[in-house]
Amino acid sequence: MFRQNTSIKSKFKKVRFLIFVFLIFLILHFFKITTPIENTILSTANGLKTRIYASSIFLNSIFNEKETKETIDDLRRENIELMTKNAKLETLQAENKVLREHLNFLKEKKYEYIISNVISKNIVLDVREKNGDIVIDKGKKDGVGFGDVVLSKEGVVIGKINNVKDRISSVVLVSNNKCKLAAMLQNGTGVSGIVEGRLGLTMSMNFIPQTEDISIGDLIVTSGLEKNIPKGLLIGDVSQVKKESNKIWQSAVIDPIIDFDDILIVSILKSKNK
Amino acid sequence: MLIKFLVNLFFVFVVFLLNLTFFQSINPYFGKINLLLVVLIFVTALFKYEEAVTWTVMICILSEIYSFLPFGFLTILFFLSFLFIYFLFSNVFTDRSFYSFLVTTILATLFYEFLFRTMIYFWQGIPFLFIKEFWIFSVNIVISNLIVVVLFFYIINFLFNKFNSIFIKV
Repeated sequence: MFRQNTSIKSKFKKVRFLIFVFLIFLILHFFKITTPIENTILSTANGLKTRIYASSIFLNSIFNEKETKETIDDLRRENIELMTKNAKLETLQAENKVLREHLNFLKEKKYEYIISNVISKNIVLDVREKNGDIVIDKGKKDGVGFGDVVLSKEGVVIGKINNVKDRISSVVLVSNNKCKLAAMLQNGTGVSGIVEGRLGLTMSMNFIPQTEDISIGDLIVTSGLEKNIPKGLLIGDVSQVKKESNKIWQSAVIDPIIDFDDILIVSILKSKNK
Repeated sequence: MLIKFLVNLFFVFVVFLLNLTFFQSINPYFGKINLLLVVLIFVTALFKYEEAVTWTVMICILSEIYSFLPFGFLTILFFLSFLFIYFLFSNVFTDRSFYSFLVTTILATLFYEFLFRTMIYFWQGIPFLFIKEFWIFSVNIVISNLIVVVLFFYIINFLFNKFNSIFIKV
């Protein structure tokens, strides 16, 4: 009986010790006493994390070698098509340049970039989603702010900053349910709407009037109606149009242009007036 | 004492980095592995209670620093998981056998996942219990963790001969 009591007492003591340690940790954090230590750990580990993350991406590419070969063939074909289109576009670009000079658009260059490394992927909160958020190694102290748009090296919109800490930030991907972007179709009609993520895989643009003509392959760009997000940043292309005669609106399924699994470096677009 | 603490800290740091940056992004299958939980199972089984608490605290601190969840979320999650594992090893599966590790891994992983999703449900209202994907996800995590536990068990048993025989002697 005595032994049993001692054993229970000892276990209670251990649990008390556990709760005590937890409370101390909690109090120190809330009074920001641990902040310098936390920041030191973050800045020391970020470099290392970038390298580990890059090596895991490299290994992932080896796993997907077969898939990559097929993709290369597709890309070669696509490249030829694009080269033809590019020739046409170059002519247009030259024309555009002259027009820009006339309109003094370049004087309005008020955006600046912050280049950042991807250090990890965040925990997926909703099990129905394929991708979680990504974590980058720049934070509040580097000038990153909530809602800033994040671009890939090609200038394609990856997502938006949804959480900022001193030295790191979290980016919600455009394919994530939580991400909403003011967008428009770049097919000359100028139809605008909201692009929403769909289970971490694709995106959708809803509430497009039935009268508007949408074709597969039409590009979707940012509309510029959102604060801090300029007009004309590429989001994706239309892969499917959902149009029913008995409904007022039609919707479009949008495929992301880039593979979110391969992102290593991103740029955060921020306005100077922030 | 200090050297031991620093050595422990170093290993926790390595495990943490591997779990967060390497396994999460290498491949979707590896991404399912909860290395921190697996390590916690082995630490609870092999180390003294105080040392296991130290590991848990260090895992919690590092996880909280890198987490965007409300502060204390992962601490509660890991502490309760640790208590659950400790309870299993000190009251139910006391023989440190291969089977006890496997069953503890299954139970601890399910406990962790269930607790995590419940906390997420109360925080953000994301449902999970009657969603097929949750159960598929949980089974995947259990299988991934079991594979890692089997590997760890063999390696540790080979190096230190710390555990009981793998097969029950009849």
